[in-house]
Amino acid sequence: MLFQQIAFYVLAAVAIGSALGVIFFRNAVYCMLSLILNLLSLAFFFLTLEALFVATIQVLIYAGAVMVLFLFVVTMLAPSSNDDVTGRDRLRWQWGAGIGMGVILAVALCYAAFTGRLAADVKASGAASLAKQVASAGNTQAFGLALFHGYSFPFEVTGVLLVIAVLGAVALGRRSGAKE
Amino acid sequence: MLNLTPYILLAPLVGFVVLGLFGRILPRVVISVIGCGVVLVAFALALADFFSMLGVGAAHRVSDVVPWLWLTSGNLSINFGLLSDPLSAVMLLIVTGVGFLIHVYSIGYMEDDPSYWRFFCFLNFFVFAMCLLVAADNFLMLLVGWAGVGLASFLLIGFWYTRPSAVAAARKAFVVNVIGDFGLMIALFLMYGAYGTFAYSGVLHGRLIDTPTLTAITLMLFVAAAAKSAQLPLHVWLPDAMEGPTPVSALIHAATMVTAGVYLVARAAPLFSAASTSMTVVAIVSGASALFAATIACVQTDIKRVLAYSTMSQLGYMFMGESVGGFSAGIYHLLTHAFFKALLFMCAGAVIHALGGEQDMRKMGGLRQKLGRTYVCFWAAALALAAIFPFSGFWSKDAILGAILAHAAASGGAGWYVLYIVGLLTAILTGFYIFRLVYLTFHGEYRGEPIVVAHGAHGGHGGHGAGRAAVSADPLAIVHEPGQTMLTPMYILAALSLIGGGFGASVLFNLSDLSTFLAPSTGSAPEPPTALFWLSLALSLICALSGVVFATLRYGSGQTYFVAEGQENALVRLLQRRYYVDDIYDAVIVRPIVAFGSWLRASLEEELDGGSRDIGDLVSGMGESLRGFQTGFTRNYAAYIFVGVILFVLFFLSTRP
Amino acid sequence: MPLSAYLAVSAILFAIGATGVVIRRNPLVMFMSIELMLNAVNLSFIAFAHFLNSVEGWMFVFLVLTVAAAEVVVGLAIIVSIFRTRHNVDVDELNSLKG
Repeated sequence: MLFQQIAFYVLAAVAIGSALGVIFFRNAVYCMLSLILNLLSLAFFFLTLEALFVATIQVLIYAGAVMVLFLFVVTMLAPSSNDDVTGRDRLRWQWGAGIGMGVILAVALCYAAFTGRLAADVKASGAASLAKQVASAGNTQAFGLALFHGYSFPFEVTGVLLVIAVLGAVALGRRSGAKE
Repeated sequence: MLNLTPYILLAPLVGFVVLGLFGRILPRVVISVIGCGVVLVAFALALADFFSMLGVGAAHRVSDVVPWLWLTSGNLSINFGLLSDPLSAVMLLIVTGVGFLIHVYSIGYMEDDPSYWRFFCFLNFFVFAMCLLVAADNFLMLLVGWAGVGLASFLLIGFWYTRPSAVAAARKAFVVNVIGDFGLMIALFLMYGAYGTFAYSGVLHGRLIDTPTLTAITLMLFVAAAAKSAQLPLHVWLPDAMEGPTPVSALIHAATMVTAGVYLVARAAPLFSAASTSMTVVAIVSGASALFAATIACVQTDIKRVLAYSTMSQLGYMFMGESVGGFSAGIYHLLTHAFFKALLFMCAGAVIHALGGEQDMRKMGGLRQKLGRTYVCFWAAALALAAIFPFSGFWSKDAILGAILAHAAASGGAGWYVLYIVGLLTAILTGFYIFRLVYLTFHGEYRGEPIVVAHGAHGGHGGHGAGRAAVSADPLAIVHEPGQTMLTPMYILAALSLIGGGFGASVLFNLSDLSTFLAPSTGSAPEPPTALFWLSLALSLICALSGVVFATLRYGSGQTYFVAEGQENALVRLLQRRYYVDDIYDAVIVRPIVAFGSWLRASLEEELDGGSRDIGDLVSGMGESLRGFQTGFTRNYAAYIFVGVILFVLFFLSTRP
Repeated sequence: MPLSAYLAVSAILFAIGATGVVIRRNPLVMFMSIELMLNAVNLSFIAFAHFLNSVEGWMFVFLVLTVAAAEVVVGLAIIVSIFRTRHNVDVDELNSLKG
């Protein structure tokens, strides 16, 4: 148990630290790298929560493919200098407002979490626990069974969504048609 | 006995509707036939009613027909009812008979007018409204007819609506008439409060009520009568009403509409007889009006204005007769006055028509040879007006003066003798001004410009003589008599003016005369004892003749006494400015009201318009300030969403247990 | 660790992400902050799935993941097409909807 607690605190610290890094670094590439660190720490969180398959796909897809895509774009659009955006900030007051609001939100939600408001009764739901017992045959198999037996329709829709996204990206990514 | 009154009303109403809807496209002949035909039908029916009335005994000459019930409200129920009794029968005969003659006259007079159909349409409407007024069986329907004739007067005075003076005159007539309408309505309210009904049977033969209320009712009725019949101080509209075409002046402002006031007082005779204070007021006002108008008529230079003031003066006579209880005498004078005054207007119209629209007597003269027949008719009417024996006016005016003298003798009050003297003075002046008119127009040398365009009613409108621009030696070369459609009615009226006295004086209807005939409706007039009767007869004749003689001396051989502008003495100026009554009204009433209206409009515009403008400004100001939220920065919008989320979370936290 | 701890971490990460969207001007960093928010939600889903012994949480995470990927693709394409010709990437330049 102690190990688990230590692991939790360490992971929490890394996650929060890297999140702060995302929003405070001036250089966009540093922000990018902080985000990757954040995603990896979250993957480890998933591992501690016994969601093996999800952790894996988080690393593979999110931290892997998506973030690489981000990196490409960041480097493509990098400003000439290493600084972040030039030009004065027209909305300086939003710094203070934003940070204040963030603090308020974090405090409110933590308060809600710790006083039990958010998860007043954490009971196991009956039918789903059955799926969990099936998981003893393997996490991936359990995930697959649930996905293709109970959630096949969302799965198909997601496929359509991805096709649309790809088409959109291709259409947006072209240079204006007249020149071609 | 017959009561065909609904059909008597229906005929001119049909004419009005048909001409109103289709008149624009009908040919002239059809319009004339419809317009005059319906009035002829009405006259025939009125005649039938009258003769059937003669067939029954005096006590049974009342017939009330109720075509339908108009409305009921609580205890009040008002019928659209039509009464046929001696008074209404006489009035219907006058209205439809003289009306028919004037319709025929208008065929010739208005022949050049492009709005020919509109004229007959309005005339028919007027006949309908006037018949409704005299035939109604309750005071409320009388008010309906009253308002209807007021409207018809407005429409007809302003017939040539492109003329600003005509429009102003129509407006003035209507405004002053409304004052009278107001008086009539107050009388109706009081009547309802006292009697609980509007019907003649209920009010006139009803229970006795206290004198103050009765005096109030009758005074209000007299206010209405004074406005309609142009007595002081509500007379100011009548001279201006001469802006309308001459047939209008003849029919409405001489024979029928202005006599509605006399009819009203005669109809309410039982009420007036019981309210002696009102009678005194009527006497004072009417006596003053008669004398006032007669003096002004002596200095007028416009033919029609002389006749207008003469009408006002004669109406004063009628009211004077009624004020001493001689209601039937007043109606008798109404009858004869309808004949000769309509004739006078027709003759004046013929002169105006022949001269191409000229109305100023200073530009007339010497028309005797060219307009001989008109001249003869004019003499007949003038003699009747001046009350020379044995013409009709003599009998009716003498009936009035005799009644006044009888009342004065019977009651002994000095005031009544003063009234009698006023009547005599007015008789002198009447003879004077009417013959002044005759001599100035027809005798002497022609004083005007050569007539190149004759035959027009309104100043050179079309006409046959337009082609002949050459000025011949005789400036009146192309002036000629009016056509047959105009002359025939004039002849008929001339005959009636001469012999019309027979209605009152002779033994025509079963040894009774007009006053006896009217007695069931209006009561009997005071009859003077024999000596006074002959005295009054002689005095009125002497006064009338003296007026005529004086006029002949002054104007008879053609000399004129027109004073040049700016050289009149004070008396003449006073008369020419009509005792400054119009100016007083303008300064005291019109200007303050107009100023008040302007002030009100300005402040209301500021308040109401400003208020609504302020609301508009408020809304747009709110929009302007809310505009600040649309900065265009995505981050701002994200921040707003963030705020919303926080608020939602806080709300969620605060409400869940 | 109790569920509330995981939820607290998730809440903090979410707040940080929201702040990032509001604060930063670089569109790519704003986008990254949005990814941060999505991941925070994923964490709380997995936590619930663990503590409720149910599999719906995993399903939701799966869907969120997929949608986030699609969103990144399209969003980056948009950002690229907008900022392709500029030297200066600043979201505040896109204020032509200013009222």
